[in-house]
Amino acid sequence: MSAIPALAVHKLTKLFTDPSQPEAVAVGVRGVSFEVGRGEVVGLIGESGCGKSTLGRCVVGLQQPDDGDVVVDGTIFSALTASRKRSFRKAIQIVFQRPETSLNPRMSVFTFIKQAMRNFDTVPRNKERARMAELAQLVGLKDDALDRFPHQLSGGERQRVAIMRALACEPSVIVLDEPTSALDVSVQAQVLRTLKDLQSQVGTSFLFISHDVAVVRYICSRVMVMYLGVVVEEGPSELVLAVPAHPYTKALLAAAPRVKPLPEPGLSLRGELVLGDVRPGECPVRARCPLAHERCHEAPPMTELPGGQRAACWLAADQAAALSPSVFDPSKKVSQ
Amino acid sequence: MNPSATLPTRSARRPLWRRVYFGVFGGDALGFAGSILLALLLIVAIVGPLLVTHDPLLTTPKTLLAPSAEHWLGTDHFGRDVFSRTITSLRIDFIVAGLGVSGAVLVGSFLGLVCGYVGGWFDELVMRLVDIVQSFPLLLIAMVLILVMGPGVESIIIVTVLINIPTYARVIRGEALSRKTLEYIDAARCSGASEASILFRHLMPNTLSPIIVHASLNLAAAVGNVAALSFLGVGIRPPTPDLGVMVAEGTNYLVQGAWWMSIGPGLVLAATIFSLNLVGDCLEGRLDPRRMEG
Amino acid sequence: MSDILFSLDELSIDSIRDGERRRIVDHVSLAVRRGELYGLVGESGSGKSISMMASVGLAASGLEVAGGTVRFAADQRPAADQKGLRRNLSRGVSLLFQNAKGALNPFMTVGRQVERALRQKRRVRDLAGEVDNLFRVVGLSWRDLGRKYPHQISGGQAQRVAMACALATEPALLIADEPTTALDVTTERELLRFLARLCVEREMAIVLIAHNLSLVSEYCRSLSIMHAGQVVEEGDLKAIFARPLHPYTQGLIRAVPDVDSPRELVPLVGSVWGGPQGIERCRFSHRCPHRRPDCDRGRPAAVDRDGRAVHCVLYEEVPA
Repeated sequence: MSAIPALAVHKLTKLFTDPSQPEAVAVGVRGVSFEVGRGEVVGLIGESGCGKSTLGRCVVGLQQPDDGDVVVDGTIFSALTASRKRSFRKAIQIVFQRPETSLNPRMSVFTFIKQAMRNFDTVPRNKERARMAELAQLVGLKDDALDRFPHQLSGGERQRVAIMRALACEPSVIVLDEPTSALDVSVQAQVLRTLKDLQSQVGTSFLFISHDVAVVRYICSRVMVMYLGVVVEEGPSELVLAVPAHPYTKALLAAAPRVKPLPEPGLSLRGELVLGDVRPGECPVRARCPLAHERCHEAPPMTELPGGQRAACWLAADQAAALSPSVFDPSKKVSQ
Repeated sequence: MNPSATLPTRSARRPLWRRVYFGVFGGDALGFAGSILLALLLIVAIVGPLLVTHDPLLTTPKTLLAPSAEHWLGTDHFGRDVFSRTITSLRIDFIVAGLGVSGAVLVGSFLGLVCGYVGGWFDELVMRLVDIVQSFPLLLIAMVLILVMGPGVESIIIVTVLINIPTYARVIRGEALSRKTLEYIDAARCSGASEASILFRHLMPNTLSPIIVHASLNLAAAVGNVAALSFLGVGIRPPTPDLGVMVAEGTNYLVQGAWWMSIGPGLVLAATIFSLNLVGDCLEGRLDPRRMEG
Repeated sequence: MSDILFSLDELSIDSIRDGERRRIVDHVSLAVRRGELYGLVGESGSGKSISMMASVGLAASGLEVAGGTVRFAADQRPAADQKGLRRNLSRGVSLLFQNAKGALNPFMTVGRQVERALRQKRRVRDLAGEVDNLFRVVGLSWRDLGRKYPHQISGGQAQRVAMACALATEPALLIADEPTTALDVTTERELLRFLARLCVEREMAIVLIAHNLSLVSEYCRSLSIMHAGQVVEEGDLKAIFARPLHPYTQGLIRAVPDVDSPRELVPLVGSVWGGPQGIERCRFSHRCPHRRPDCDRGRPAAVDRDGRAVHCVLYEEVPA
């Protein structure tokens, strides 16, 4: 059970300051730590500007973090030299959001994916075709798609090809950055279903990044909620998404579109994210939170709640203290 | 049981020329006409030696004869057949301009690709050199280079290559810049490709589509430039026939009424440049919006 | 009961490409009442945007209106009269687009743009005051944002500015084409709520074009669902959601993940434009679990059931 996690991220930091607003707080990722176990599907939810895409790119090595480590299969991936990285990166792959630009327009599907197989030596040359056919079946593509070019494929088909490419590397972890957000509703359902099925078949770990809470609920067993570069809540999906402890999560859930609307409007955040309103050192949500009070000027630590749920909120801390004072120790900073 | 209205989805077999007209040219009448004209000119240039009626370099005493059944475009001041000279020079001009533009495409694209992808000081340095080349007047560069290398066809080709490099360097650099951040390049990186492989195998093929349009318009200008330089005496020198040279020589005799010496080659020159422009414009219209991806 | 302000009757549009004609909007009819927030839902290829754009004379080139009539207030004319329909844009119809920043002029401050929109309608006595008021109506502050350019404000703010411009002419009908697709879900909710309030407060009719059902469920009173250019089900939203009748509607609901439970998704099979081409038929039949030979014999007629109309042979009464 205590096997090395497929992915472990330690205090990852990557920040960008807006040159036109040098005083404002920086966006990006701020000291984020988490683990993804073997075969686990972890979701990362957040809206624009929360840093989830930056986090995804740092994890697969497309961006160099300012600080912190990315550990894949026990190896500190982020510390590797460029040449070692090239061979090691087969273990961690990514699927991007936009089907229009995820594939090379001048390469057939076969050629595009063959690169990965050749670079990582996954199968001998004479077995390439056979392996491609296997992968195509896994992602729900017909054999004849292999020789097509991207402009001959639909959006859903292109995303399947992107997933195929990631799988062809035989990775331990696949980061999926909003893989279905650009697809139509019915195509999204098809691709999501395929993802769920192949994940249970192949057993690869997923880090599933999305702004759509319903999609994350469907496919992820564990979920993290990000806001302005920090994780504000995390835990099992059925806890965090059913009984959220953090006001931001509550607001996200209340705002999520539903076929059957909830009877009450629920919590909502004030206004929009304005970087200039956030002071360094305070809770990043304070400026918009309807439940903000005095203590919120100091960023709250992560509080452990029952069932493995954790939230960074003073009110959640109160809640936990009320439940069992002996368990809750405010001085204990939970680390990975 | 029968459908109430049947909409034909596959058009009935239309005549070939119609399908080509709409399919290839998108109904662009000018482009279609320009292509036909260009094709004619190219054919003439290619089979040139077979079409000449007389030796283009042979001087005869039959000077300044008006066009007749024997000399379709008359003879020039050295008694040479203007028609044969025109055909031969068309060929030479196509070759010179063609080689010149090809060379510029190869060198310019390579530079632009590397500059766009790598950036940094290399990009700065090369682009500033390109700026310098582009800011000098064509004639000045041509004359300096001819002085250094001596006159002749080879020199003109090199001049053409040099002055057209900036166009391609800029265009391909722009393409490389706009595409290097696209996801499929990142995907190639994740697939374990080396940087060199990414540059030449993945990025380059996607930057090339503007080249066709630019090259065809460039060719038109190149033909014009070669003719202009020769007209001014800096380019192809007599006795090698060249459209510009012929027009130049002919102007001296225009006053005497020997109009055929200038007008013949002049019209052919104009037709060549015009048809190249039409084809270039048509290609621009057809290729740009379609190839939006990548 | 409020009367019908805007209606489409048997609107049909063909697309003509390389000399080939294809019907992309097939006899679409809908009716919007004053003060109603009307949802028009469909995936890409459903023809929802094209229908509405054509109804105000903005059919794109390459599209040809093949039939139908459009009625707006007292004006009724054939849909093919695109020029005539375009005049409605200055007579009480306003538009909102998906990409707000793209719809605004990048070279003009947002305050100026609202000003211009105001001046279009009529002589304005207190221009500055009216601009300030409009900003406030859409939840923005002119003092904070008026002098900014579109690229300096957020997507949500840009959409609100676009709304202010649309409201400046005091339209009776607002056509909003996926106005919140590019926005965060929390911002989206605010904007949709605002739209719903507008309907009530100003007795304005709004046609909200959306690509998924869940978006409209909370705010719209009536709904029209389109697939491949045909209306499949339309009418009272509550009735439709309580008991969806058309197999496409049912399929859509089953295919969308539910934020409140991790239930399994049942994806729709096939794609929008599959199936036999060139004949009049139900264009969902090739994806339908209840397909019958009847489905291909012609366009299914509208059948009234429980407060909505459904276009499906399953519900057609068998003649006695």
